[in-house]
Amino acid sequence: MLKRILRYYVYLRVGISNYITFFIALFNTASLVWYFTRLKDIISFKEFALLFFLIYIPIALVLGYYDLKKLVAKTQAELSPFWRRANFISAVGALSSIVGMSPIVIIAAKSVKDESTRECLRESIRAHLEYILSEGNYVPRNPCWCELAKKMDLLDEEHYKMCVEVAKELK
Amino acid sequence: MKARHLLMKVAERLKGSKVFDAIAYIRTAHMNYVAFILTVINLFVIMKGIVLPRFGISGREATLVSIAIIVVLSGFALALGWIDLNVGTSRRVVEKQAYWRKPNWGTINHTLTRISNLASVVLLAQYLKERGELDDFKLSCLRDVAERTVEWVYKSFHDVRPGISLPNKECLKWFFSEVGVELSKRDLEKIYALWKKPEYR
Repeated sequence: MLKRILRYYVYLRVGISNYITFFIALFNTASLVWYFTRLKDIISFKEFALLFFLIYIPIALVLGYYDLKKLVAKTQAELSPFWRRANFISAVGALSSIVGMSPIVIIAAKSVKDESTRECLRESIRAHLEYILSEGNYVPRNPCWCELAKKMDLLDEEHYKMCVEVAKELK
Repeated sequence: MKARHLLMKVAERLKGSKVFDAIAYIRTAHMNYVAFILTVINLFVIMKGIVLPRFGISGREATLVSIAIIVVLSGFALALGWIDLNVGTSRRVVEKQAYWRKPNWGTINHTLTRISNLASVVLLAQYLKERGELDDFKLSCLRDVAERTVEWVYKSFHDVRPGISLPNKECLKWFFSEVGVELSKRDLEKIYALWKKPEYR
């Protein structure tokens, strides 16, 4: 019941903000320009509104297009805190604390003979399954890939410590 | 340069602050509930007190008409909202955004092996070792990716502005050649130019 109410509430707010208040704001802008300038002595509001939208709409269309493709909207996406930063899911993925099941993973599991590597892979796949089945409540804290990488000389001491620390403290 | 340094110092001090958690919660509550309720109250007050009296409607009648207007508008907004999220502006704004098609930071850096996931680096190293193909050069290339990946994740959570180093050109050529794709000098130059762009740095 609550979920349904929340969905209706979101629909309602989207409808209000994207259409009703948006068109009221457009109308307000036009009426303010007309009222507070000398234009109201020259032309009627009807004539002004027609002229305003004839000029405004094409300019706004072009500006909006460039905004989404090259200007503020694009820059905003690039300045998002998680544009170049790992979020929870990409961090556990990058450290392989969880490994999603896929045909490529099966190929990898079949092509490697080392038992500790295979065990680590199994552990990470189990962790992924648990993470999904718990709907994100299970937080994997599995540093076995850090240990294997250290053992194989893929991480120096400093990076190994970083790896274990971040794998264990993710929340 | 000094201003940037100062900014970094301030950000560093504020990094773990619980004040931001509190503001995030308060802002969300305000935007999603309080501001909305206030908007509805505003509409009611403006309708009942200003707009309707001009049309000769006042008192109890104005209250009822105001409520009716809010109900009708709400129904209309609800339908518009449903249409909007499924086929309208909300959807279009996402689809028309530059990064709908353009690869984002993660795609560029994962695809071009600047970062990877630790399991795949270890598995490749293990595979090459078992086949006797893991020489010093290949090991150093794999170490390069593994360390950069760990650095990226670590810095993402601990640094104000996470930054990671660029991969070695020869390593990049080797990674691609392992799957039969030969990178030309021009390809490498293009990849490096891409990495140096502010959005992909």
